[in-house]
Amino acid sequence: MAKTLRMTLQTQLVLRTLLESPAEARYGLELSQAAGLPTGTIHPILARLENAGWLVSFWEDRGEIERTDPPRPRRRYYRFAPGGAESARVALAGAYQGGVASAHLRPANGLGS
Amino acid sequence: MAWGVEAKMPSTGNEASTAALPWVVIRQDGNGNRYRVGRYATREEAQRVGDALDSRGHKQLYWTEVLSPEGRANPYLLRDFEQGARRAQLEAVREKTPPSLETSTAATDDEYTIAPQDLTDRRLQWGRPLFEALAHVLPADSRERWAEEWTAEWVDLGERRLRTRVAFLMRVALRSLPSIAWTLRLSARRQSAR
Repeated sequence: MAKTLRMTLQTQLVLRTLLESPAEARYGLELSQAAGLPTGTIHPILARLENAGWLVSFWEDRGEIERTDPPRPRRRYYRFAPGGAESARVALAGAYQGGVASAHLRPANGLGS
Repeated sequence: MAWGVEAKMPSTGNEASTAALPWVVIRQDGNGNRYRVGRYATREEAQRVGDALDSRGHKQLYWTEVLSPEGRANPYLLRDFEQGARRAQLEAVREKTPPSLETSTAATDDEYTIAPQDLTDRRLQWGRPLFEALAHVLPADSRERWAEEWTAEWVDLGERRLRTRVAFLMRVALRSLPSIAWTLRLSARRQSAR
């Protein structure tokens, strides 16, 4: 069963990027660039999402690497686990609702007058 | 696929190094880009390196050329050129593309750059041990996976600015690594508590 996750802004950005094409598998660097996050910062988010059962990861096919020029180390790809995309949509909707609710608590002009 | 034999030397004081290490291994990729792999003192040494690289079985072709200080073609290379031309024809037939005559003339020494494969090898050479060392913070069963994943991304960043690559290293070491270690260890502790 999928766990609930703390929906930080970075997590939301990663989930939104993955939801653009839920069936597609993407690797870390590609995802961080698409989500507009600095390189090297996306891995903890992916680890948490995978740990929560929302994502699954797998190694790139070796045959695929052999065809690249020049050959490079294999990449780790991530995609939604069964039910993961739905959990992500629900969590994003909840985060959005939470954001709207907290925005209503603030004074309209931001100064309290 | 095109082959060249004549190499022009720039008149920028490279004559001394050319004389000391006259044999050069050249690599040409599928797009006709030519790269200098290295300079060698003897033909045998250059041939050995070229053969070793060629045996990797990729699309690139390697061959040896001599750089003469006068910038002239070395007549002794004619045989190599003919062999090369034959191989180029075979390659062209295989790929159904005619060999480009434009690239059959050798580039100047300045036009040769470090081959992408060599850049990849260099980054793997010290990148992999570095990430393996960093991954020791993680639980034992996930060290190899993360070290390999980071190494792959490190190699992918090969063409980016030095600043970007250093920033990647710093973020992995100072942010990602502690965070992943915490997530994985906490998860393992929860599972063992059940």
